[in-house]
Amino acid sequence: MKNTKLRMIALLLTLVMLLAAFPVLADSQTPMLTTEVPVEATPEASVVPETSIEPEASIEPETSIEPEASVEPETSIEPEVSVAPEVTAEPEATEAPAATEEPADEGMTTSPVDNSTSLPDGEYVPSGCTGGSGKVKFSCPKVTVKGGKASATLVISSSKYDYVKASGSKYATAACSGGVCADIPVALNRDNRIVGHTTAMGGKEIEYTICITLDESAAQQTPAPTAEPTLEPTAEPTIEPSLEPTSEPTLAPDEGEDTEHSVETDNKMFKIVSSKLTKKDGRYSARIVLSSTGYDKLYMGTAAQAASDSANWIAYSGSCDYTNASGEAKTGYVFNIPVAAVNTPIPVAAYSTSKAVWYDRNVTFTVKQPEQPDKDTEHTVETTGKMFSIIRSRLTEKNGVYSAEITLSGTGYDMLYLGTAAQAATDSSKWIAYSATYDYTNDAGAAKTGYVFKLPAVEVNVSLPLAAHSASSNEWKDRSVTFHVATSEPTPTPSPAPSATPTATPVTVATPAKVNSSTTLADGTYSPDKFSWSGGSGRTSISCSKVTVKGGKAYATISFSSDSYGYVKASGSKYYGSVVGGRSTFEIPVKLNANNKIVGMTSAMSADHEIAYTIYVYIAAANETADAAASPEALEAQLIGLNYVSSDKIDHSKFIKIHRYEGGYVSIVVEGADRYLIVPEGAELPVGIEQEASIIQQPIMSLHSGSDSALDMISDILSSVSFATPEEAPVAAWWDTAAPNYAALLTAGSDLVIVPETFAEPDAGEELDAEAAAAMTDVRERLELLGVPMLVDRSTDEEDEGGRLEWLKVYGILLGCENEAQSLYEAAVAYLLEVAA
Amino acid sequence: MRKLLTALLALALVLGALPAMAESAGQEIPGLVWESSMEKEFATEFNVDYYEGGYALIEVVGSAKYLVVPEGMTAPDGLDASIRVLQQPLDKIYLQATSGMALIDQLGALDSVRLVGTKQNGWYVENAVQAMEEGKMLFAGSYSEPDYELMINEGCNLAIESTMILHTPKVQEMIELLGIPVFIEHASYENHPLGRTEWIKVYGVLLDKEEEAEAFFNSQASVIDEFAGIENTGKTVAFFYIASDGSVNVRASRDYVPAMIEIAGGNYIFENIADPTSNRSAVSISMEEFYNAALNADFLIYNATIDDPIYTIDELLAKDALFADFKAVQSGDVWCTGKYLFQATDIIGSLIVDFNHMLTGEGDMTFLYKLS
Repeated sequence: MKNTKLRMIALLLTLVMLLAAFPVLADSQTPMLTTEVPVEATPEASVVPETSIEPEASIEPETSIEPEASVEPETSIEPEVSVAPEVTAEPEATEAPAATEEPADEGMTTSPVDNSTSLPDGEYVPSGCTGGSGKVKFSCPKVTVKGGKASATLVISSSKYDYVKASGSKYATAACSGGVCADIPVALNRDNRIVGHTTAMGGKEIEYTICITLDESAAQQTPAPTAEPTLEPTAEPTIEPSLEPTSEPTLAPDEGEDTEHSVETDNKMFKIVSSKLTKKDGRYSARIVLSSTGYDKLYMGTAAQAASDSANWIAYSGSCDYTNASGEAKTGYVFNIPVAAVNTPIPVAAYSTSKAVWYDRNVTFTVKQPEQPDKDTEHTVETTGKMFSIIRSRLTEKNGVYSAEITLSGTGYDMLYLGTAAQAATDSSKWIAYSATYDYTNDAGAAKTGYVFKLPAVEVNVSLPLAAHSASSNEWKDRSVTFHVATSEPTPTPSPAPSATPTATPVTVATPAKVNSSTTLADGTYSPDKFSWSGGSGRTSISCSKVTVKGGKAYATISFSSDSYGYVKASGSKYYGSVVGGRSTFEIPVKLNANNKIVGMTSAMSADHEIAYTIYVYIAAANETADAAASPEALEAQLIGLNYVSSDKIDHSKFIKIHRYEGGYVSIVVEGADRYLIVPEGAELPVGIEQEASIIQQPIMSLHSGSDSALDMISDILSSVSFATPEEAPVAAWWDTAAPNYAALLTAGSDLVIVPETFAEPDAGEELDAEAAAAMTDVRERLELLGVPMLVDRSTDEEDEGGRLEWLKVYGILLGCENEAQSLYEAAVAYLLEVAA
Repeated sequence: MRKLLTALLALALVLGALPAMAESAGQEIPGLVWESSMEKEFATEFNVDYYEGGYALIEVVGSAKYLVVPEGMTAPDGLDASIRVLQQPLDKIYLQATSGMALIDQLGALDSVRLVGTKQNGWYVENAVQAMEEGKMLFAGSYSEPDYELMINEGCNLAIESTMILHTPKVQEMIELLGIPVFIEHASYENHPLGRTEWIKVYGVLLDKEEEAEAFFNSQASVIDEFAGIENTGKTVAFFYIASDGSVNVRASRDYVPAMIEIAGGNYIFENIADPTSNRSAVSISMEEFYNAALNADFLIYNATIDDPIYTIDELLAKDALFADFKAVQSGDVWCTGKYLFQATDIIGSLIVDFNHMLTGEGDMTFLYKLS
């Protein structure tokens, strides 16, 4: 009680001081620190009385989560579980929340977690933190490891949360940036059930599951800028769970994964009072407590085999006192046995000490599969076939059999069939109708609905024929799907422990293939000379701050302008990074001076999404081998997502460059104006390319020109071409940029507007009339609004007629009449030379 | 001399009369002779003045003025450039403002609407759905990305936009550059529920259906007279939906839905939510805030105009388990509106009747239904 008083006085003092220091803040309605402090402090002060130290009052049985049976006889209740007085008595304690045990009579409870970690002591930035709800967001900027135990600084977005229960204890929150914070013990890389208490709604406890991702295999300790020690809750490492005070002894934390199960035998004389089933490396073993000490040896086989195989007899490893249902004190022997199989009777021979005889018994360990969510399998999924894309997929494994729940991007297919379209048509018994609909927002921000299908028994890592039934055409279409499951690749995070609310693992994009990241650059750190990227919706941008060369391999440090990226898949593997200052940063192997496909996983949307990107990291010095990609032209021509082929020879023009790419794409660079990408009819537009070039889509059947010179050349080209029908001939018309008639463009269905040289950037020193500049900006913006591409003609800016004529090539490319344009150009230039001669 | 005196006298009279006339006569337009002003009962967001020859000036308060020029006539010379000219017939309308559809339907003038800003599955006005099915109305893009080409090719002669267009001024400018006048309606700003209905009079002016508009409005307005003397039931009502992010969307206290609840004899749970000076008709609040306010509300009405309708209390609980604590959930007084509500500007009177029937437990419903 003395402590309490001291603390109260200290708190009051703090309050008075704070109020005195911030009179204005205290008056204001804003929920500032000053008003928070007393609120946060109150519950803490009230929990301190000594009663809370007493184990009976403080430690909560947690039967719902722990396996009901346990073996170890010693109860390990530690009396030191209370809050260290020196922490709580000090006023500063309000900033560093301290743990108090969950009072047995109050609200929900949590059970202790094993927060041991292989990470060395220090502070870490986790790569991910999931949890919370739509209303309250959780984040975790820091994980602290101390004495091999991990605790996380949990930030809750709502200031209404006054305490958090975790790992069997209660932690008061303190105001911090982003809401309120509490340091709680966590088991990394698995689901932790916690309870948060909000003062809103008259006070309410709400259950959450959080998962904090931090690669435990590699020490990626943050530089720890401050040596400031984070106060660790003193209670958490010492609390051992205690089970029912009547009979069940506690379990010591054990290696291996506990499996929820039940156990039964086929004989009343051979009774197991408790058991713990552990799965490690795919094998089960069990610690069982028999109801008595009547059998002192077991043998995993028949009585006959046991008699002749003394090498494999299993002696009891200890005894266990318990209270039976009638309240009698009993003692049973404890055995550690291998379990060859679950959910099926396994033979076990038991040796009766009194009768000196082996008896045949059977024991069945039933793993409660229905109550336990199936194990999610990390995977990627790939589909073939037009308009058939899977936006999320959940693959679950049960007894070695995989089943999948997939969501298609739309509702166009209403049934699926595991087989070919031909088979589907005649086998209606195996048609799989959609089981649900799923609303989501696509990358473009549009609201979409997809159908959800459950596929029983799918094979993994092979391309499965899958027939899809089109609802509109009432036809079966042949498609295929491949579920890729990593077989050899080590998974950086252990699969999360089953939680009460399984979240779908939407997987959309296959891991990009391994790249050759070898480089001739010497080991060290480089700044890229050029970095470009494409992909995604454009809301998140990617930057590349440096390239590190280690052992002749190049690694790029790339950073997304969002804190929601959990991992990046690149070069055949998955990479986890860190979140600092609102950016997600990763170091990945790259092939320098080439397109690299990568996949980023963002949790920013309602569900996790994988998004494909292409990045291009250019370091000039890496091109010592002088291959084609090294020429300055090639560097300039480089466009993300396109493979450069060649550049046209330009004879006279000072303003144009023409680059060609695989697939018939051509880019035309007009000096002082823009870079244009001419996309052939039917060709796919590389995502994100519009960031690098203005797109002109072919065919151009109707164009308008505000340049006389351009219109003349276009007319010349068109009159030199013989079109099969008049409909095939493009139509060119004059369009006055000084008095723009936008309705005319729409009436004619214009595909391109050519504007005169005045639209080019002014030369150095040239002053542009503000009014004229504004008028041109209007034209640009309005053409963009109408979706009509615009090209700046600078043919009249050329120094000589040859340069002007070379623009024939540009218009030949645009109109798809290159040969005719080339002939015209050559003839005209020849004529010029003739005249000059 | 007498002549001069008479003239002076006349001048003095005219001058003296002028200020008084200016007040009652509304807008002076050079070249036009003012006749009368439209009488209004509830609407405050528009004014209409009539001029000789069938001209009408529509003023949308705080927005713009539009001169409706009858077919075969022209706008007077020297018309103030700020007044936009709407040349009748206005028979190729792009209707982006959804609330206008029900009113135009009541006028029997859907033929004038050629293009719409909402797809077929977004309409709850039956005749509009049918018109779209038959291809009489075409979808021409949303407010922010209209299909300019279609507008031009269809000869669109008026774009009726909701205030959403104010978010994309460049789009409005572009439509006007294409020679299509843009009329921005403010019906959603009306505080009185029947103020929204009264906008049918504006459509009556645009579409030359003034008499039909007047008659229909009067039939709906009679509801107000019916309820004029009723006593407040003392019951409280929450009107809301759960947004996709888990927040709760409620009507602002000054919005027309709370007003309808009051007219029907109920009390809206939020006495003062949302900035009264803003034009926002709805606000998003957290579930916690909603819980605190609506826990003891006598009635919950789920607003299904934006979110999908729900039919059972379980569906509500699935959205948030906290609803189990609500008094109205425990007593089973949870209702849902039809999808039609927002577009149902025409039958606002009927909705007030529905609210009253819900509160008193007597009478039939038009478009509220109780969750099971």
